Amino acid sequence: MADTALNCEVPRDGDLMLEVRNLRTYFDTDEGTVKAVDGVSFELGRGETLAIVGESGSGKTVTSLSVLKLLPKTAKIEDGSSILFEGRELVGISDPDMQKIRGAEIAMIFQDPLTALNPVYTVGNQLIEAIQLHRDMNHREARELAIALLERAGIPEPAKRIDDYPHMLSGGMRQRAMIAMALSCCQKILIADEPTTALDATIQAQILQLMESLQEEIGISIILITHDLGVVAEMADRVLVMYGGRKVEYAAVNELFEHSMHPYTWGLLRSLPRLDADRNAERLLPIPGVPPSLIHLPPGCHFYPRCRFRQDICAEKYPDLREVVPDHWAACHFAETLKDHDAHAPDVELAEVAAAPATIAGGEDESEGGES
Amino acid sequence: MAGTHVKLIGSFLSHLRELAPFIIRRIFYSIGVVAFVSVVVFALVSISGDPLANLRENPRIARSDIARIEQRMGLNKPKYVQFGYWLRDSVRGSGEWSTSFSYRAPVFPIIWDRFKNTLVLMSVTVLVCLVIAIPLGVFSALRQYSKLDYAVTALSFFGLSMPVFWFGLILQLVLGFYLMQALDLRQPLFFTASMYTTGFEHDWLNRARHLVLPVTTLALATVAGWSRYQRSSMLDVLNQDYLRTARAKGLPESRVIAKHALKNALIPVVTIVAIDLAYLLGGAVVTETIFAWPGMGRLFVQALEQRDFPMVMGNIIFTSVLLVVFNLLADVIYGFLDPRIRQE
Amino acid sequence: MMIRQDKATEKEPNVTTQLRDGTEVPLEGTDRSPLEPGGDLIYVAGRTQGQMFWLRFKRHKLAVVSAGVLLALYLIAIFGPMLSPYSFDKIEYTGAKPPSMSHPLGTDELGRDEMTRVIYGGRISLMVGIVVAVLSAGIGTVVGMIAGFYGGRIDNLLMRFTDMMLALPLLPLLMVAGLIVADLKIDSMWAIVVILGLLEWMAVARLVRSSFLALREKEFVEAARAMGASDWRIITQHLLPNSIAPIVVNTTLVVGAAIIVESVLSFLGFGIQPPTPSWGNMLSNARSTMVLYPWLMWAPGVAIVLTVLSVNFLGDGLRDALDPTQVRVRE
Repeated sequence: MADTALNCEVPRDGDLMLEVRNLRTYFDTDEGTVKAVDGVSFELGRGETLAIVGESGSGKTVTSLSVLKLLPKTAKIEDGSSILFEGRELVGISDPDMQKIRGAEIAMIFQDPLTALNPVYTVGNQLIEAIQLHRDMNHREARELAIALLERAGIPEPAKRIDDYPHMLSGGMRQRAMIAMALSCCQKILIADEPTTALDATIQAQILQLMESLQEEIGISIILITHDLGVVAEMADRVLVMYGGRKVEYAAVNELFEHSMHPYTWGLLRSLPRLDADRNAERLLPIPGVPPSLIHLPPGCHFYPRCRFRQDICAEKYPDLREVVPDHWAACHFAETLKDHDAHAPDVELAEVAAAPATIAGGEDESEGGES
Repeated sequence: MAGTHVKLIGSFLSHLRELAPFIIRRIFYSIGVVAFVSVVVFALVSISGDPLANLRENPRIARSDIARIEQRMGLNKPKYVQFGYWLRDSVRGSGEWSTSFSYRAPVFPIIWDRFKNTLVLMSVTVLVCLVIAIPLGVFSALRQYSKLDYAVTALSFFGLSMPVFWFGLILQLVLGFYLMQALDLRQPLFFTASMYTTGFEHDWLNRARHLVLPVTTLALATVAGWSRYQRSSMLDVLNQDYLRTARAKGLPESRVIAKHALKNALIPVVTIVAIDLAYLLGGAVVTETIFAWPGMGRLFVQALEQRDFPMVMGNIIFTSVLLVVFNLLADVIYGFLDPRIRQE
Repeated sequence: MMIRQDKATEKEPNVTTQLRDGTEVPLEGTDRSPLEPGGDLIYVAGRTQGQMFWLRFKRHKLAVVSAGVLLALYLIAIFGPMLSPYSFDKIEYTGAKPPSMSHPLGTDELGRDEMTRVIYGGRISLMVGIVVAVLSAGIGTVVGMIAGFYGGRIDNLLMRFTDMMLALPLLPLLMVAGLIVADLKIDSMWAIVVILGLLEWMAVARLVRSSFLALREKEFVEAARAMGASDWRIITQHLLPNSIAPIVVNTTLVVGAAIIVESVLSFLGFGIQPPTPSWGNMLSNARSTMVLYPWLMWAPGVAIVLTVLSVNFLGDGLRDALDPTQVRVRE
């Protein structure tokens, strides 16, 4: 008797679903070592949604690929990294063991559902493949389950759609099909890499709603990778902001939006249009400049070239991540000062920030202002 | 398992039915193409002056016969009228324009006869090449930059740069003649001419020994081309996102490659194979000449040397039709294999 | 790798950095923040397109070697005959001799020095290769340009014509043409060159057409139009330079293909006619005495293989060097 996804439930107590400590993933290329992820740590609780935010090149995608060990051959997870899934260490386990976890316990969906599905096989074929891989079912049972999953994922006429090829479905449908695949085995974690970026705005909302309702019903944990703060506001419980391969801010979602402490996050917040903004007082401020090359990283703060509050100290010494306020980490020498200011207020004076005594990680005593 | 095969045939047939209007349009287009080819060739041929020059010099043919032929071919009429005569005779399969000067017999049966020989040669060649080239291309792509890959690439370059006729000659010399001397045999181990030794028509071993050298000659360039193409097609596929999805589902790497990558990688190669097959079937003129293989290609060369224009024309038209048919076949199969194209 | 980081000053430093393979590349400053006047902060290597092309091309040692080989071959073909004491067609009646000190490649059955003949043959083949390539590239580019730029019915018409031309069976047609040429006693080499050129342009036409079709839609074309640029100017200044890469690669490969086709034709007797030596007809000669005088079989064949191999390697190297979409790392 086939049990459908509707009967899945992830137990609410137990170990933390995912615990990542000091993850470092480096790529070996002709031009040097790319430090795509350089010492990132985070936790994912049961039934929780963690959003990883950053620009392209910040390392957010590589982080999630590292969890599932889906990295290309040129990449390596460095020693000292630890990824604990329900208390079980994933770094260094064998390939066959990892294959049992992939797809069965941790699932991943990707940004572009058109290229993520094999064009020469039907949706049903690929869905049933996922089911039969981890569950003991014959073809008929798997097909029944597949149809039920498609239906749960919100696809109309699932019995017909199951024999369609990917290019016959719309973008939203394809993403729903991917979600159906991600639920096929009562998976516990869903990693969604920019799941809505390639979709229309209205469809975006629908997909997010689907993910939310599934989380309520089944209790899966979600890692949501995105650069869109609107999506974060809607879905996330905690937020991890990444820049230049490192963690720059980490807090609960409300705390982050209301009391952000890192200039980059400020930049992200400021570049979002708000309905209630005072038109004359506040202008949309895009963050100038380009993301850093991950090979030629400066010795100081990675955000230095683009930061509007930068000081000399920032170029010399990397601001280590610290817990400025309980359960709110930031990596900036001036986090304390920023904490007391509103990211959306009319331009915070540079002077204010510069004059404030910087709490420099490592406790070195330096006179303010530095060399000019 | 049989069930899937029946399903496959069934879906191929329904695919054909869907494509019926497309196929019909293509057939009309193809007729146009063949017409174009025949016009061009006829124009060339008619420049050459008196087509019957050889015949006139032949003492065994009476002047009255020649006059009769001249009249039936319309040689005193303008060129485009002659073309019309040729068209009529070719369609009918008889008449002066469709009768070989050298053989004094209708052109198409002779061509067909020789075609069967070419078919033998080419079928064996294609089979051998497929068996070698596809795995070579696939594994080169899977182990990119490895020694195997470099070796295969180097070999492909070599094969593509080597003039087929020279390679054939060298093979004749080395594997035909020198080998025979080295092994102290009375007959070459690998024969260097003809399809079979007289009297041994049904001895398949004899036939096989005759096939080895010509097939090898043709295979070098063909394998070189196909394996390169397969390699690049496979490399393209290996970069695709859907392979990552397959791995994320927990599929073992061997399944990812064998099921998801391979089918996508084979599709473009099918087209190339079909088209090359058409060219090969047109008669590898040079190989057949060197190895005295009684096929269509050799027939063509002989016809040219003998100024046997009806045969030349008939041969070219036959080849054109073959090419067109195989192009169509290639498109149909490609559409069948790649669902994205099917809807056209 | 040395990266120097300057503080906010206006110095213009002179820094270079070394890539892994040892090449030194100059660093140019970038990344000025518009909010802060002053100097550069992080250095990123800046390179022009030409520099990038050379860097990539140099990586292909084989292509570089091939370019050298080809250059050498062409030089030999041009200047060789002057250095040789023999002529290519003086018949000596001394019979065929194997390679010796006075005749490094031996002589053929009419006593002619094989080496000199190979060099002369090279002249013909190399000449044919280049001229056919340039001719077909010229025709193809023009056709492709018109079809790709104007689109619509003109494109349709031209492409149908191109398809028809592609349907023509190359070798048989050439053989017939070669026969006619021989019968009419026209100078075979130029006739072959012209006919080959007329039959090899289709691939280039398609490449140029698809390139133009794609580029036509880009914004910089619209911008140029808005500034009042004429069609001709847009084609020559904007579209054509960006389409050069596939043309160059294809043309290089056509050189090799043309040399092979010419040698096949000559071998069969429908190409360059004796006494003018061509690698193809020399091999045809050698064939009849293959067992008796085996040395005659090697030289022309090796010459062809060497030339075409070099051309192919060069073309491959060019293709890689001109193609900026090579990505080695996926993030």
